[in-house]
Formats: sequence, C-alpha cells, structure tokens
Amino acid sequence: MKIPFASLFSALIAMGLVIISASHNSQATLRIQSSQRVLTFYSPLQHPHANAAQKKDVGTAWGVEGRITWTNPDLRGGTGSAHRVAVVQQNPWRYTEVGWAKLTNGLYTFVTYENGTGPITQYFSNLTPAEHQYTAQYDPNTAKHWYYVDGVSFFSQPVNFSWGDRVIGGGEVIDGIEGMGNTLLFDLRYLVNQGGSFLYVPWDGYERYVEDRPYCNVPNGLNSFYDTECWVYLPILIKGG
Amino acid sequence: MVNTSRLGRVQTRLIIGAIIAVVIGLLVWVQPMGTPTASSATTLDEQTLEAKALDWARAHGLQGIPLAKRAVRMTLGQWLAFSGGQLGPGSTQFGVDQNTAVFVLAIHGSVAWHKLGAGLQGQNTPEQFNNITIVVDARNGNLVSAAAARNPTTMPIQVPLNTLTPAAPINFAPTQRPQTPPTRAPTRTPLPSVLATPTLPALQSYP
Repeated sequence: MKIPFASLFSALIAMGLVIISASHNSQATLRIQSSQRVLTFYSPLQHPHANAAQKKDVGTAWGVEGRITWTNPDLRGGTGSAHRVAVVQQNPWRYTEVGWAKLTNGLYTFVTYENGTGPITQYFSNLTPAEHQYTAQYDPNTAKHWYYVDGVSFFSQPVNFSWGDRVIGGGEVIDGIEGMGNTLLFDLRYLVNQGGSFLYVPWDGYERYVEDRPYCNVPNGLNSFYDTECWVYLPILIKGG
Repeated sequence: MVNTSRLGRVQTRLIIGAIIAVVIGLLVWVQPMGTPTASSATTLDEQTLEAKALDWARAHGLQGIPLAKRAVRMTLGQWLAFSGGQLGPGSTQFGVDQNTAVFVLAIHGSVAWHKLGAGLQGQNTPEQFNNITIVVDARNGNLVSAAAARNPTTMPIQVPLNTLTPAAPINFAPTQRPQTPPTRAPTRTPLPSVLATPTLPALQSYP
C-alpha cells in the first residue's frame, strides 16, 4: 500500500503534539471527525493560575479604570474566574487590581494588592451580576488608593506606592480549567496628571502581557478586548488510500 | 382604720414603682434588640467557620495540614485597620459595614499561593509562603480576605507555633475616623460604545 508523504508527515506532527500535550496535561484531547475526514487537535494546557492580559506601558499612571461585562463563566470544577484592571509599578514591584471574581460560592468584587509584604486580597460579596465600571486611583491627600464601582467608593487602602508605569487589564483563572466567559473589558482608561489636574485618558492601544494558552485576549478596538479561550487548531487532511 | 389606709397607699405606690421598674427594665432590654447592628447579627458557630476558612485557605494554596492555627473573632473595621484599610460609603451595597462580624483564621503551614493577583515579577511558579490568613464573614462564611506574609512576624494575628508558647496579645489599631472619598477624577466624553461590533470568533467548548 502506498502512503502519501503528506499524510505521513501530518500524522507524525499530530502524534508529536499529542505527546507534548499529554506530558503537560492529562486532559489533552485528540478528536477525529471521521465523517469530514478532518483531524482537529487542541491542547488545553493546564496551569495552576492562568492569565490572559494585555498591558500598556505609560509614563505615569495614577489610576486605572474600565468597564467589565458580567458573563457568568463556567468554572468547570475549578475555584475562580476573575476579570480586572490593574496599575503596576515595576520597580520596586507593586500593584493593585480591582474587578469581579466568580468563586465557587458566588460573585464578588475584589481588590488585590502587593505592598511589598505579600499578596493581599479583599473580597466583597453581593456584587450585582451586571456590567460595572471598576476604578482604582491614588489620592495624594490621603496617601491611599481608593476603589470605586460605578463611581462610588467602597474601599480605600495604603498600598505603598503612588503611581505606576504600566496598566494592565485581563482575565485570570485559579486552577487553569475555568472558563473566562468571553468577558469584555472596554472603555479602558488610566489617570494622568496634566498640569496639576487629574484626568482619565483612553489607553488608545495595548500589547500582549501574558496569555497562558488556551486563554487569550481578542482585540475589539484600541480600548477594548475580550478575555476568552482560543483553542489551538491543527486541521489535517487525511487523504484516502 | 387610718393605719390600714396608709398601708394601702404604700402598697399601691410599691406596686406602681415595681411596674415602672419593670417597664424601664424592658425598655433597656428591648432597645438594643430593636436596632440590630451587623455585629449583633446571628453568626455561625466556631467549628463551621473554621471549616469554611480552611476550605478557602486550601483554595488559596494551603497544602496539607496546618502546622498551627489561631482563630479570632473581631469586626471588619478592626481587621481592615491592621493594614490601614477602610470601607467607603459604597460598601453598603455589598452588605457589610465596619461592625460586620468576621472570623479570622491565621495559619502556619505550607502555602503555594495561586489565588488572584499577579505573582512576583518574573516568577512563573506559585510563590511559597509558610503562612496564610483567611477572614470570613461570621454570618455566612463568605470570603472577606486572604493574605500571605513573606515575613511571618508581620502577620496581624501571630500564631503560637506550639502549645507551650502563649498566644501573643493582639494589638488592634486605633479606630480611624471615616474619610471622605476623593472625587473620582473627571473623564472625557465617553467613547462610542464598542459593544455593537463584537469580533469574537466562534469558539469550541470543552468536550
């Protein structure tokens, strides 16, 4: 029997990917749609704690905000899916984030920060399952970060930094198996000081920060993107003998 | 006859005085019940709260059995004051206030932190800690706070490492006056909505 070289080559690649994937994750799946004679392969690599986030390096950001839709992501037996905006100071490493998290027992808004002593997260239950605007901004008068949902302050906290040089937005999952729910982050802005006046300005662009596959971001304009999952597809035609 | 009349008056006054005393006593007793605060609301028992806090600790990366732990009840305001945090007026929408009763479980043990929040810069594996502190709402066990300290001596609630070590007293921060939130900085004219033209590709779901 004569085996076409292309089919043999494709089969070898597929086998290699299965082996690589299986070494990362026991849930790697090989699916063959025999009726269409198309081999589809995808590899949901498991990470404990995975991200899909975009960043924008800025001169000075005194705060960050964005609107985030509520999508009720499927946790798939995991413990949490979160979507947030963050402002980061790279040296020394400091950050603060605000957004929503779906945990095993419901929906929370959360604030997490790193002040140099270790990670701390504050959770607030009873968040209404809807689109909200989330804001974190530094206030020089009180030397604290202040956090807002839909423009109403609900929490303030000294975080041991004032301005950051990077803003981040994106999704985060706890166990690497949860869904991100096609959550849309939009109207992304950061806070600048223009001649003594604080003003929120649009991001107007961003670049990849981290995308732990299969999690990824899908662009939706200069100030908007989706937190979602992008499978790795490898369509391989199998020629009949 | 006169003596009997005086005796009757004295008895009447005594009865009236007793009634007034009972009424005042009832008012004093009922008043706090009529205006319940969050902290006076019914809370779960210690065992249930500890079990819930341990579940949350494991979800945040606690591995194995804690080496030592210490449980303390306090108010949310007291907990936040350890790090200088304060609730704002918008916290009422989340059903909490400064007086909300919380249950704090401080734990010594192996922790591979993998909950929300970026890890250390450039670190791809979960950061390791030897402690974690979990705070839950004492009314329902909902998660309130999770923290891990690189230097365990900075934990707000110190955990004695063995039964021979007496528990250190807790130094509560002085109560802070509520601060007025700064005005959120003005924004420009809102951008046109981007919701109308989603470009999301069709996605496969897990089998």
